[in-house]
Amino acid sequence: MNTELLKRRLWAAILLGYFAAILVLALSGGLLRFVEPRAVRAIVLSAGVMAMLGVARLIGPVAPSGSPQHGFVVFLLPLVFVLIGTRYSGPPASAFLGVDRSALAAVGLGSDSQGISPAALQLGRPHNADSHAGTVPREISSVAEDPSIIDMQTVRFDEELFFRYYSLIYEQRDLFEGRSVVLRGFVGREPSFAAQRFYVARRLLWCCTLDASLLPLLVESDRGAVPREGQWVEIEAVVDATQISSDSGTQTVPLLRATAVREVEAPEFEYVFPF
Amino acid sequence: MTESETPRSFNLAHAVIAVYIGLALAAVVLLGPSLAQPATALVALSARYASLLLTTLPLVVAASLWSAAVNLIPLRASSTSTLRCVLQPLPIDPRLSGQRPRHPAGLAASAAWHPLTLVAVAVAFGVNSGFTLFFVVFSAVVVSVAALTWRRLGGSAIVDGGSARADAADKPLSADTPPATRFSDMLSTELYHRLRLTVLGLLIVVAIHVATPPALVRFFTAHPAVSVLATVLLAFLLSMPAEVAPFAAALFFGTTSHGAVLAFVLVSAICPARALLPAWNATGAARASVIRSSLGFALAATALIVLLTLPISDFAAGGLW
Repeated sequence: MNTELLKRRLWAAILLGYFAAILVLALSGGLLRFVEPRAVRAIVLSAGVMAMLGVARLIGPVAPSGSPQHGFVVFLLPLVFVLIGTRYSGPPASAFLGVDRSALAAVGLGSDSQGISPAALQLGRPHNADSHAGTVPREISSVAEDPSIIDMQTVRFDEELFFRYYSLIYEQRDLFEGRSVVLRGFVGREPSFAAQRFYVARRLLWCCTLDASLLPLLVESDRGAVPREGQWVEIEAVVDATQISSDSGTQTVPLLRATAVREVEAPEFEYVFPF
Repeated sequence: MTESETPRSFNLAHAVIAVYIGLALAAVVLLGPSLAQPATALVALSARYASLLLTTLPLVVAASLWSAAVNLIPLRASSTSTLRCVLQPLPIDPRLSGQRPRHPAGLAASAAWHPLTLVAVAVAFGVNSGFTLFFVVFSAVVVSVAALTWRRLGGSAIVDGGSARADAADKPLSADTPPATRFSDMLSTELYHRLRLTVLGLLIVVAIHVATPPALVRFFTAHPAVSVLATVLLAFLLSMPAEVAPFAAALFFGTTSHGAVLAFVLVSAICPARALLPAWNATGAARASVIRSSLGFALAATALIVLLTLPISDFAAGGLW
């Protein structure tokens, strides 16, 4: 077969392959894992243009001065990475595109974000109706470190990041679900709790200790591993969710399924700051 | 040696791919050990890469359509620079470079302020973010300074790299070819080059974004001049299409200076490696123009660094918002 003809057909096959892949992603809903809903139409339209061009390259006349094309193997890269990307289980990957709105706010360029907006937030996606974080104010921490938890298998609630992650786990629970977390706090219980449940909490200091807010996280462990109230512990847990009932109705909250509970000394300064 | 002599063989595609592979190997060697969980990092990288690629696909196709359509419009040599700027095709295919404005300011501005580039900046950074306005204003300053410097060096009759190659090596599309065929051929070629540079360039940028150790990020944050220099070099080597570069640059927003982000977009649009390498095949006057172009680029990059790392950049950014 003529080499030029082979190349032409190969390029046409790539264009049609891209069209087919995008069509499959769009029809299966997989496209929404990678892009924002408003972009889907434009992407499918682009794929349509590629398909038409592919057909034209297959059956239509070609200008004799067509420039040489080679190195087609690179066009396989996206297919490989899309396949790997389908194993991704976090929030829509489009959340990581564009500018981190908190970064915009931090540098004084303005932001249209509302409240918390670290790098991992699902930008432009409405919050779940059941997201709730008690009465804790929603101010954003302005610590210099703003890691994206997508890169973390284990999320550590460090002192500086405690309030940020605490807020995030309520606001964007699905971002944490299935991940391991490590945090320190003191233990508390409520009379309504099941025997294997307790909470680990820190207090948020705004201006003085009198108005410090409680930042509790519900934990479930083996009955034998439930520590006594007031004890400071470090827990390792996997984030799950559960429904709890209160005066305001039933709501879904994060539940930390403890894999390890260690007693630790109380820190010298027990409070965390919002910024 | 005259211009009519056979140009030396130099395969741009192979050179660019070699650069990409070199960057990838360097990234693996330098940054690999910092990845504590390679499997998780690979999945995160893949998701982000696929997301970026799919998001930029409509712009890539639109730029290819634009460029192919412009090729059908008969522009006489006497056409004004303004008209050429308006109809600038954002060419990847060297044969289209003949349509590019010859005045350096027009040449630079036509890519930096191309409607598709501006749309890409607005989508990537947000219309209301302030950075879009920041981009327009500061790119005007940078382009003006670079153009003035260029002219001072006697670069008023610039023959850019693409047209040098068009003159020396490529056969122009025949006027006898039916318009539909010419359009299809040009669209295919444009899409081929654009997509290839996008596929490879985005992969490198996302890999850098995912694998860069925090210590290095802090270093760049603390040294804005170095971060500008690094992004200028990266953008020059990656040669990403102008409509894709803003999305890549947005990945580094907040971790590098404004100047670095802006420099990445500008260098990708104005003077990427792909605009210079083809002309390396040429000889004589065309080769001399390459030297002028390279010198012009170096000065433009210097102007970028000086202007964008001054405290006034942050002041102006705040003022613009």
